[in-house]
This record gives sequence, structure tokens and C-alpha cells, in this order.
Amino acid sequence: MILIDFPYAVVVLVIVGTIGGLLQTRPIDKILMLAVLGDGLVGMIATYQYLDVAMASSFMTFVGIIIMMIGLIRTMEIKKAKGELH
Amino acid sequence: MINDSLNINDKNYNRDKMYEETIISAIIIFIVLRLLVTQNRLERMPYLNVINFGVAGVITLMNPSPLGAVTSMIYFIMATVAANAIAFSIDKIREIEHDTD
Amino acid sequence: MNEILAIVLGAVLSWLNFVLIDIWMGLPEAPGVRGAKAIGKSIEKRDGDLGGGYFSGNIVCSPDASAGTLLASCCYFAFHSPAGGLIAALFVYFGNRICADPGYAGTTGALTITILIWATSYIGLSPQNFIVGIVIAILTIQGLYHPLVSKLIGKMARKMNRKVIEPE
Repeated sequence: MILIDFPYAVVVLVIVGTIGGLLQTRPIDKILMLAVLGDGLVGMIATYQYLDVAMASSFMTFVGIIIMMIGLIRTMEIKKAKGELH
Repeated sequence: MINDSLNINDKNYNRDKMYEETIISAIIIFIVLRLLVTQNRLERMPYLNVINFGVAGVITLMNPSPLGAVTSMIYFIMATVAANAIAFSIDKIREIEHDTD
Repeated sequence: MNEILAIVLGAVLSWLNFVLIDIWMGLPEAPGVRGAKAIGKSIEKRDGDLGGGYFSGNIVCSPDASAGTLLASCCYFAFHSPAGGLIAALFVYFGNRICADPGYAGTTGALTITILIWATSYIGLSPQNFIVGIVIAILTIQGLYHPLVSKLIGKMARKMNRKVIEPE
């Protein structure tokens, strides 16, 4: 049975998060790929046993995603009210 | 003075074969490739949830100490809140766009 | 005990624990938050069951018995005693309060899996098997094929007399 260590899975997560974020066109899809990238980052930090850095990094990544969501919805509502939507 | 940086191979010295990390890593690789390929936005959310479960489990398996368990808990609860926010905004953007039709 | 058998047994016990407690707490009946409703409607549009769709949506968007199972087995493994399961139940209780969930599915799931891990430790299972077990169980529910699994969950929910919305 071949042994896959966890850093290999983290590398796949980070690469898919980056390339997927490049290839998607809508902003909402890009933010989903950013969440995958953030998962990979925290996993890599935890592999090297920097646990307090992992706690702070996960907190900041996910709060950042939530703030970007609020901004995106607010932008689209304003665009729609002005009439210059898509 | 040459500073010995933290070597990732240090903890591998006294370990016999760990099947648990292999199983979880294989699951993560399979699911993330599946997430890249699907087109439907709302179908990607359950796949993201499986990835969250996997990473939260591995954090504790590699650091078997109370701080590792607390890190895993904080990571998992934050990831659940973020997935909730992403699903909410996918729904809201669909409503904003389809109201103009 | 043989290692593969231990992992399979841990996966079956975790699957039964979180699915039965979630259905008993009424998760397939109504969506808790708006994101769960969107995921449920999307599964129904792909020839699934609406009750099973709400079940999957509630697992993604709020901490329920699956989160309680995972965190309780992690803390049991880290603290080497059942006290870890109780600490995890406390944290999941805080998480339920943050997400404004009306039920207490997470805390119940954490307490019952702590009892299960302690009881099977006399047979030879260790908490690592349960950590891998819950990941495999979530893979079978949310990672394989959504419409088929949602129909199975809907059938189980109706058999346990929950008021799931009937498909027309």
C-alpha cells in the first residue's frame, strides 16, 4: 500500500485553489477557490507544528472571506439600482 | 551559528506506518479534483465541507496534544461559518441577477 | 484487532451516530438558514429528495451532530481520557449559540460518541479509528452522489415518523 503523506494533499489543494481561481470568470467562483486555498495554507502551517500561527491564520482568512462577501453583495445591489447591470 | 530550522522529517523517525493520514489524504485529493471539475455552483459546497472535515481531522492526528485539538476546533467552526456565508451569497446573487429578467 | 477492521467498525459506528441523531432532531424537516435552503433546492432540482437536500444543507451550514462527532473524537484522542469529549461538547455548544441554531444536535452527538468511544475501548478500538471513520462517513453522504443518498435519507426520515415534505 503506497503511503501518501499529508503534505502531498496540501500541495494539490494549493495548486487547485490557485489555478481554479485563475480560470473562473465570476467573482463568486473566485472566492470559493480562495476558501480552498486558505484550507491548504492552514493545513501546511499545522504540518510544521506552528499551531498558534495556524489558529490566527484560520481566523483571519475566514473573517476576510466573510467581509469580501458582504462587499460583493453590496456592490451588486448598487450596480443594479443604478441600472448598469450586466 | 547555523540555526537548525524545524525539519519536517523529525517526527517521522519514531513512527510506524500511519494508515489514517493516507486514507484522509487520498480522500482530500479525490474530492478536490472533483470540485475543480463540476460546473454547478451549489454542488461544490458539500465537497468543500468534506475538505474541511479532512483537514480538521489531520490537524489533530499530527499534533496529539491539547493545543492541537483546540486548533482543530477553532479551524472547523470558522470553516463552517465561512461555508455558510458562501452559500448565502450564492443564493443572494442568484436572486439579484434573476430579478432583472 | 486488525487495523482495517477497526477503521471499518469506527466508520459504521460514526455513520450511525450522526445520521440517527440528526434525523431524530428533525434536520430533514426544515432548513435552518438560507444557505441550507439553497443547497436543498439544488439537490431537488437534480432528481433528489427535498428532505435529504435539507439534511445535506444543514450539515454544511451549521454545526450539528457530525461536527460534534468529529470534535469529540479529536479531543478524546488529544486528552487521552473521556474529559476531552466533554470539553468538545462545551465548544460545540458555543458554536451552536454563534450560529443561532435552535436545536442542540451538536452537543448530543458529542456526548453520545464519547460514551461509544469509551465503551469500545474495552474491545480494542482507539479514537484515531473514529476520526478516520467520521471522515469516511461524511464522504459517503456528501462526496459521492447526491440524489441517491438524499433519497435514502428521506426514506429513513419517513420511517422514523418525521414530517418530511412529500415529493409530488
